[in-house]
Amino acid sequence: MHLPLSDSRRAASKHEVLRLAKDRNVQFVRLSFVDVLGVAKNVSIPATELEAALDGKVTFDGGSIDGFVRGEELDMVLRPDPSTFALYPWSTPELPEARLLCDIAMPDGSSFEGCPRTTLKRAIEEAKGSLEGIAVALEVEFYLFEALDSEYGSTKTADVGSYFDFSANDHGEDARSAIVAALQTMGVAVASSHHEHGPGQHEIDFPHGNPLAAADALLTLRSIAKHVAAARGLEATFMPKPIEDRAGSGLHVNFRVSAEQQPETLYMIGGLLAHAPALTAVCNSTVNSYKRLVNAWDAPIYTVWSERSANALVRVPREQPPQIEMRSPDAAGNPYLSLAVLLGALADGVVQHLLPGDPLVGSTYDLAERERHERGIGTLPKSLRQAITELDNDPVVRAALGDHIYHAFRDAKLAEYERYRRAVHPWEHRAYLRLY
Amino acid sequence: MTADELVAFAEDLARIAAGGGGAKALAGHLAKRTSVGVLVEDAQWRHLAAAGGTGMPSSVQALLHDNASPDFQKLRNGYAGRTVAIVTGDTRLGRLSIFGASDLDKLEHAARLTASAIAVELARESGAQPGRRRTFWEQLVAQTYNDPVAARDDAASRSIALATHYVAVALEAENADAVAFRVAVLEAFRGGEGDAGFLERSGALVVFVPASREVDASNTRAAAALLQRNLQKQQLEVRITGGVGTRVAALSLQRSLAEAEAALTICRRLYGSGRVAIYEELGGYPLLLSGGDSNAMRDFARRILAPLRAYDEKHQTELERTLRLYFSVGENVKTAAAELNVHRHTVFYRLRQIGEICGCKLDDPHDQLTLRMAIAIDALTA
Repeated sequence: MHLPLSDSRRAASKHEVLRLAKDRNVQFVRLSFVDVLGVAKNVSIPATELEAALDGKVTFDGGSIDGFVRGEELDMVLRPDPSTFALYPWSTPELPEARLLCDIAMPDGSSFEGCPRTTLKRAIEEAKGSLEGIAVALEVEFYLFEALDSEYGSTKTADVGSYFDFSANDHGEDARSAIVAALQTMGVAVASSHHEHGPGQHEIDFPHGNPLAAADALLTLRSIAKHVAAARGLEATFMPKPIEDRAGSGLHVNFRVSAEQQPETLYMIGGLLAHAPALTAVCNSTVNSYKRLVNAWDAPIYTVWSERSANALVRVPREQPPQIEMRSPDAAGNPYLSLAVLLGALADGVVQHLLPGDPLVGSTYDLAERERHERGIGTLPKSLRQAITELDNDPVVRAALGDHIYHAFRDAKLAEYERYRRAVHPWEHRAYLRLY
Repeated sequence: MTADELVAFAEDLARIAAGGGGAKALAGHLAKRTSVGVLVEDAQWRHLAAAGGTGMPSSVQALLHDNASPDFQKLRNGYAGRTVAIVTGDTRLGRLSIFGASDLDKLEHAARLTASAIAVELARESGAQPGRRRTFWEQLVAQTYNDPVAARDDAASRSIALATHYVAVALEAENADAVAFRVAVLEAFRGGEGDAGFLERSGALVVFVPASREVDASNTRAAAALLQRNLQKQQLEVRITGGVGTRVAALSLQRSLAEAEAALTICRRLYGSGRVAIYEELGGYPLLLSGGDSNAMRDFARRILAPLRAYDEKHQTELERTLRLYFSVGENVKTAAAELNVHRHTVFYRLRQIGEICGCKLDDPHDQLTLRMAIAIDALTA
């Protein structure tokens, strides 16, 4: 049974949350937050503890979470955001369960600089002077595979559909509809959804809203999609490139520029292009992300913008009001940090008057090296390691992350890259085992 | 003006000229002292300076009774203005015109004195007065250097890092604090590798923006288009008019400068003040302004049609033919589709492609004039 909590009835205060929880007889509340890597964590509390939680009295062991690994940060405080209160759609009348997204604070109540959600809030605040009224919409791609009994999940699908296809026999279509319905039940607005290029690949689009709500929506989608898919014998994955010869899954981030700032759109594009290599470390934060960023399936590989090209890094259709679509990110990363660094780059473009050169006409894949040089077009990093080096050299993107997160993120990603580098992959067996 | 006032006025003009003030500053002084509007044009009717007053014509060319006469004369069509030639010896350098006051004839002496002072300045700028040490940038645009190495060496000896290519930007500013304006302009045009150059020329501030790569040139054009807004955001109460030339090798800077100045003139005449025009985007207007010879016309037609032809050749399309046909049937898409034996949606699609490839809007009268001129010239010179 669904207990709808429409967007218009979202709680705005502690008292409203308590009243709604009481009205719906909520038994448990999950206090959700993300670690530096973007992985959702939660602490479940009985409803009797909700008021204490809303007063910031629920703590957790910060030392055991990735990115919070400094001794003095044990017993961090969870600070719930009342506007994110929502009942899970699978709640039953007997056991209604809700969730609250939380910021992480220090034991004395002050902001914790290692909290990704707080970092995005800070980025929004800092960008106010230069990005007045900017709105963000997300287009999220993901795969739905058949759930098989295997250690790492499967990439098997019976789906044969492609872009915008509809197949009555496809379980994925039903699952996608159920995901959208679940999101809406939780008060997360959805603009549209459709089948994507790859068999089993889908896209859900969120409408324009403030950046914090956009990141919250993506975090919610990732958990809801996995839950709904599992209930249907499927497995949802936001892994950027699950199958070598199929389209990868991206996260297109669409910025709608306010009418007053329309003349400064070029500066914003300039900011994104200038900082693109370092942005990649955060917006494409897994080793697998770089297998999507190749010259196929319209994935971006160069720092170039275009009005129409489907494989440009930044696409700015001739529309009013202007919309700037950043096409490189993927949904496997930390949505709060991705949006924080993207806002930082946009704002830097406006402040520094960074200009992007002329828009490209045609496919970026056709660009010769000389033309790229003349047009000032750079290349996106080809590996997570390269991207981290770019991040190290970009003070603007580092500042958007803040010192604490920059170091925690960098250490975690370097370790991840090193594990990947040492692993022997099946491709190497195929290529070398019998040859040498 | 009394005789004493005229003497004081002449002394002021001399002081302004000695302090480096050009035509714009001299015209500004006349406007300030007499409360009239002042317009200065060169012999080719290019705008050199304007000061004071509103409602002035963009040019007096069509309002003259006798252009050959150096006399202080009335304008035609009952226009409340007077004009006097700017001459040095037998060389006619331009015209100074005044507007607005009820008794303009009483200002003849002041206008003549100002015209004389401007004549000296214009003669000096054109290099007619030897003995004055010219700056590196003046020498570069005067095409003093024979090869890039000589230019680079001389630049280096003056601590100037000469870029391989440059874009010239000519800017006129009304009500500008000269220093603040120059700082803002320097900030706006950062360009690529190499040093920027500055020249005061015919009342305009000319900036040579280093553009070693094409992207530097396109960013210069974008920066120029955004300059007025950015000056306003910096609370600089200044209204600018400007022109941007094309990207050229350093030794060919004169060409970019001429283009920038032509773009500035066209901009003022077409749009008034408050805008910066890009030479490459002015289509056929520079050709109309200069009255180019057949080579210039052929080059223009080739340049405008080249992107379409390259696209057609690469993709085996017929966009150029579609465009010609579209114009020749009076922009009737249905007729064009029938002639081309395609669906009319295909014609719409092709027209959109043509706009994107040529960087123009087919429903914009200026862009359409350019394309029509290019097609007509191409037909005549093929």
